[in-house]
Amino acid sequence: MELKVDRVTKQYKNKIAVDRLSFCLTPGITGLLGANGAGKTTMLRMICGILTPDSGEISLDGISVKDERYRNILGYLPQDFGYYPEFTGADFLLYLSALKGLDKPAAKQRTEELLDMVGLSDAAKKKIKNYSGGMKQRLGIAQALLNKPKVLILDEPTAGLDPKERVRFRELIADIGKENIVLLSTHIVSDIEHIADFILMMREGRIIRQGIWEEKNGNLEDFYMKEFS
Amino acid sequence: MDKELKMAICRAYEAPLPGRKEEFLQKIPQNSMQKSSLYEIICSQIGYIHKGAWFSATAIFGAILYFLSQQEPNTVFLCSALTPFLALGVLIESGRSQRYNMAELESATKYSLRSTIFSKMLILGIFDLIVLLLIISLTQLQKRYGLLLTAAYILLPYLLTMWLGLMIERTSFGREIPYSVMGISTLISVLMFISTGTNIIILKPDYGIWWEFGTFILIAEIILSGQKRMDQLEESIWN
Repeated sequence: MELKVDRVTKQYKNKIAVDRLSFCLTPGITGLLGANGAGKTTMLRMICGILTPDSGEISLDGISVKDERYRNILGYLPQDFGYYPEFTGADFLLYLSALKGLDKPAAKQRTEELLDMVGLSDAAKKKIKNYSGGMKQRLGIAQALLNKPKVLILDEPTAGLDPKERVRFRELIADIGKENIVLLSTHIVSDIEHIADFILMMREGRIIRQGIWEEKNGNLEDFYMKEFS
Repeated sequence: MDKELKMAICRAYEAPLPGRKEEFLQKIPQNSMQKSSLYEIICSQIGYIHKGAWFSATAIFGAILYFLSQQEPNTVFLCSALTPFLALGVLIESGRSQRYNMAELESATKYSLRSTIFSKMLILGIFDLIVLLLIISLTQLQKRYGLLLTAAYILLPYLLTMWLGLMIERTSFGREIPYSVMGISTLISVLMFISTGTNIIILKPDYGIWWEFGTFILIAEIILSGQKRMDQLEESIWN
């Protein structure tokens, strides 16, 4: 399984958000690091097929990201997402299960599993508007996993999580990353330092470094601070 | 085999836990890898249309039935003055994903945002069509105007609201969209009510050809406008 990003460019009026990016993702965890405005979210949206590049191609084993077959195996957590005001946590997951093509019994079972996994079983019947920021974020993580995705794209997934939840999240992602492609975008180095197999660093729409971060290269955080200060 | 022996074997040898079950299941070709049909998408969405949309359409139909029962001479125009609110229900529902910031999540699912919104609009559109056909049939019982002219009088305010609403949704962004659409539907409805009371010349059957012509033009415009909205739907949200 290989997700190929080939010379992808995206421009908004007079700002080039993503500038001729090329890389390949294989099963494992890839950390996408970059400061705010580096073009990470634009890149992720293009990988999810919800934003069309001005030029270049993105495909998974030859299947375009615009194809329903790709979206069927995709899990995505956007940086910012909303919910319908009448939804409880369980309703939210059941609704997204329906959009992901799960039948009702499978959706119900998967919803219960995931609510338990993210520690929201007790709050399943509560309206989302009464959830804390961390609870909403955990619900977001749960929805991304509904269809047992082979490609998991996470945009700032640890925002709002407390330290204990962050550790639990890393363990969960490390497990999923064993057999699936996981791309995790963040500007917090510690989120990916110990779990990422591959690092991509973006600045002003370009990749300034890509590869495996080895211990001999020193501390990733120090390198990041030096590059982005 | 002896029943007791069978039971004893069952007790002695516990069935092993399934090994690599997930891997095995993943290898089985899935039906879901086939392209989804519109019917599947509609079935998945019908239960998620906001109850308010059904309730308001039913309430409007109830009000129209009341007007019809009164047997007033201008019943057709009173009924047609309420139809913009039927269109409002479809427009409000079609903009919910963007209004509640769900569009990005819905775009990255198996059924794209475009299919989801299209199916919701189709479900409510068919419901409205049934309601409008019922209204046309019932007003036709009064035999005041010909069928085509009655249909034009009932449909035109609905279609005008739909066309303007789709244009607003296509060209505007932000939270003010539902208010603009509500404003348009209220304005068209109020204008129809006022016209009915003043017996304005444009409502006379002599001008019926213009109502019929306008209805056909608006049907064509709505098809084009709906197509454009669907085309720009996914891109415009983040651009």
